[in-house]
Amino acid sequence: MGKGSLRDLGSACFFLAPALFLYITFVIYPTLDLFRFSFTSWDGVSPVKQWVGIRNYQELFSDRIFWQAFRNTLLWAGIVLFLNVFVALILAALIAEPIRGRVGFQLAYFLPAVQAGVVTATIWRWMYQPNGVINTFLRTVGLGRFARGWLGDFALALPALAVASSWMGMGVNIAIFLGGIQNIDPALYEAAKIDGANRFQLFRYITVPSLYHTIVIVLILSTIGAFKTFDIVWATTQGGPVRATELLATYTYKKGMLEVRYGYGSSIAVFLMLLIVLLSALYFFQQKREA
Amino acid sequence: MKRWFLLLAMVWVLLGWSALSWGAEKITLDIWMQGEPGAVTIHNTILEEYMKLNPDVSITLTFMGGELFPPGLIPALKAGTGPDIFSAGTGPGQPAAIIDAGLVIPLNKYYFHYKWNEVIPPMIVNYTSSDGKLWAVGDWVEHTGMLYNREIFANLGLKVPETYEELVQIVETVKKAGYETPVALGGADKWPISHWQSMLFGYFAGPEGIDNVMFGDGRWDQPEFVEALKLLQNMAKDGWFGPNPLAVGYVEIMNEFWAGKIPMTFTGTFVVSDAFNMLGAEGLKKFGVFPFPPLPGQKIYPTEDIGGGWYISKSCKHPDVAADVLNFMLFRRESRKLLLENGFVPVGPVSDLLEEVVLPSLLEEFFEIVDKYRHNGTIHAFLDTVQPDNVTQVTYDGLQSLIAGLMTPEEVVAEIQKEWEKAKAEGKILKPGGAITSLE
Amino acid sequence: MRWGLVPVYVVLLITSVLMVAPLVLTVFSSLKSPDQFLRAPWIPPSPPVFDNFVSAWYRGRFNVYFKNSVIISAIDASLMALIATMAAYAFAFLRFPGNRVLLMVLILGLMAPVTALILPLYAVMNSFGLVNTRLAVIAADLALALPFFIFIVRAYFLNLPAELRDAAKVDGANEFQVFWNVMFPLAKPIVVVVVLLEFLWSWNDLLLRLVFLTKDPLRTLTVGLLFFQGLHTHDPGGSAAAALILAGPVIVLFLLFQRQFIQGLTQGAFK
Repeated sequence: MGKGSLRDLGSACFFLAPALFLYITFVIYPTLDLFRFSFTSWDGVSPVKQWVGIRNYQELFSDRIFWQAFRNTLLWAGIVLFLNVFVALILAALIAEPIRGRVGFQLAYFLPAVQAGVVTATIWRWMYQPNGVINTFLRTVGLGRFARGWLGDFALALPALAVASSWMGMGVNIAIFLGGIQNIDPALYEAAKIDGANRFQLFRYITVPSLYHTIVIVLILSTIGAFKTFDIVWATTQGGPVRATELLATYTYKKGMLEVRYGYGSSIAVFLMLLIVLLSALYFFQQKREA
Repeated sequence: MKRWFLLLAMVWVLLGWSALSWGAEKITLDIWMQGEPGAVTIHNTILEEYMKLNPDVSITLTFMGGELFPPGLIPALKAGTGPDIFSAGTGPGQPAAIIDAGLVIPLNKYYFHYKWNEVIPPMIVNYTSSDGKLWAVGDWVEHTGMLYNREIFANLGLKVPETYEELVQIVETVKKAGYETPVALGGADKWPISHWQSMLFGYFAGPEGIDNVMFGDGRWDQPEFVEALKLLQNMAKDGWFGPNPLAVGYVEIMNEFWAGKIPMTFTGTFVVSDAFNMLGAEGLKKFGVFPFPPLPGQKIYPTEDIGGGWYISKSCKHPDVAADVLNFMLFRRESRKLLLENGFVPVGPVSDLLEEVVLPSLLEEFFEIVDKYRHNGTIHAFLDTVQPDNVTQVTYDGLQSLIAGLMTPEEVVAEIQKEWEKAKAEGKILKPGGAITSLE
Repeated sequence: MRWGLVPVYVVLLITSVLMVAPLVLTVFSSLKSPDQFLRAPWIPPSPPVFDNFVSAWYRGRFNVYFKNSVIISAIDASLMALIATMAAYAFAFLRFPGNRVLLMVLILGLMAPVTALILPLYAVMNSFGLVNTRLAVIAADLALALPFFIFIVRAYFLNLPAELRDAAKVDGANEFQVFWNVMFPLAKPIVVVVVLLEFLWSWNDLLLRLVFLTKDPLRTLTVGLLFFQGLHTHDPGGSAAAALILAGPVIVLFLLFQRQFIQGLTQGAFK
């Protein structure tokens, strides 16, 4: 009685038709095109697309900036995942406690989540200015020595933008985690509390394991989102200063569109996609093994 | 029978009426240019004038934001859904790709028909043409120079510097007076630094030196370019650009300049029209401009470049009308006066118009400088617009590294030269346009 | 008042203030006249002025763009609710060859970066003659987000008790009747999530609209905001007001439907 038998083929076609039509036409087909173009030296404009085999990929491996973008993307993902998954989970657990004003807190975390990337970039670019809100605040409370030109600082520009990006993304994850926590059988908690468990133990031994599936899904989705990030970096530093915030997505754009080397840009995009697939597959198999 | 007659008569009337209106069918033209949507620039006014004089033409002017090449342009041109006329960058890189792909038409016949050949200076023709074909009409001419706040200078008893040493003194005085940032530089956006680089390269190598590399066998990793970058790096080290030169973007730091918080900045005439609108004629007079003072043994070369060019796309159904519109907008005397008055300098001689128009004060000063020193020869204001994009990207990153002290001048020019050679090998550098002789 | 909860409150308060502060500051900025910007950013505007909003609405043509954003996002959200739910129904309940495989293919679609796909996507749209139509953007939006929504609605369906569907089928209904009369209404909590999220993502998208809707009467708010920033001058009050016009409606939407949204998320879409 597997899902593979033919019984419902007719109905399936009906139900799936609109979704599959849209998806295949506007996602699958362009993605296949993307693969195809990565083997050409097409500039994106001329009608001529010359096949060059794996030359783009060979160039990729010796491209110093590509590897820097790769490292930056990993670092970016690391910071964003830490904030958007780990910290979000903790905050969700805290909100789940019997406190008043829960709705208010949820709202506060969710408001940034409905911002457009452009808006977030505008707001944070303004806040990170050398004489902007953040530095003025630091100086006012006597922490002036921490004030600096955030988006011009080679070491801090990337983390600074990652924080801005997390600001936007945390809210959704907190809502998801909160939903999951509220589904956990309270009896589990009661039993543990009787045994004298404190808050941290409850979190570690009951909350986290119960949410395992949810955490994996959120991890995958957040990773995918982090790797695809473009808007916020482009609207603030365009990968600068000196490629300190160059991510794979911005590098694809630079090479593909700005430098009119669409073929090469495609190969970077393909690399990015394979990376995402690989990581997601890792999560999946990890989960299957544990189950 | 009568009913049939009536029906037939109606049909004839309808046919006749539609035939008449077919003859009077409107010609529509789509124009794209940079700017803020909803802004009303002088271009709107000029185009409306054209429509009044040519009622069968309907022109739609769409502002596409601030980038020289909006992401939607190339796909639109390829698909034939793009604008009929558009203003975009010139030079190698994306413009060359558009030309090579045959997405725009050559303008040679209009060049002769409308006598543009008597107006557009040869250097600009050189940069907007290739293989003897004119591809774009330069939209407006830009110059760069050192803008300064007259009030701050007056308060500190400072005079406009004539030598580099004097400028150093000015910076010192300004710093001691408490100005954390003597010269505004929007380093986060990268391209403002390349305006400095373009000017300094020109000062140290002279116009012939630059042309030698652009069109000849010259190289970027020569001592004069190294010296130029060394000067820039020392300026940054000495705090000319403030404690965080790479942390702030161009727009934000120019705000502080116009607000009177920063004494100087090196930028171009493209700021004049916005500043004029923002500050008014009186407010603008508080600012002046002087040419970057030369080092001993150097000359002052005015910097010059076109902001971009106007192209007519291949998919335009009425290229003759489009060319007529361009002619009206850019070459008609009245239009040129209007453009000048609003801070857009059309290409070609403008001295005869200067008596009849009231220019924004800052623009007048720029012109005086350019006229005074033009005989020395002119250098590029924006090298990044006439270089292939891979060179530009490396230049941008290299300049940021330079300012931050992460790379030496030698290293930066070496990288630039490497990319330059790569582009040259692929034939992607600017080819000299040569004289336009053929009619097609 | 349980003392054990004090540290919880402290952490939550500090973090929520940090989260909300940038927005509050933006609201302040949007209500300040240009001269008020000389003072510190966290000082509230006094007196508050609405000129920035008026300027964005008329001079920035946000009135036109607002209408376009609403039309596109509303259609997006409603179509997605139907299409995604139908497809999810098939994946969850129907037996057909390639059920698993197709699901995998769908998930792969989540990973494609739009910036890279934009050129081939444009070519496809053009071959359908859809450039500069709202339909192009709607189709692209739906196609790109379908995998995610199919995924979560399917999970929701899988979490429902099997008896519900079996009972309906026993009554002799065909698949579509089961879907329309039983499962779709049951899916209301998750459909709320789908509608809200798709509306949000469609409302906030920039790149697709930048490339496909170049004619000014068709432009949306995100593109308008990008262009409103001005070429060489900086108008912090205007930018803030523009940003809020963009952010306002979705904030209101989520405030209104907060409860249903949380409910939908809670009901096991993410198990």
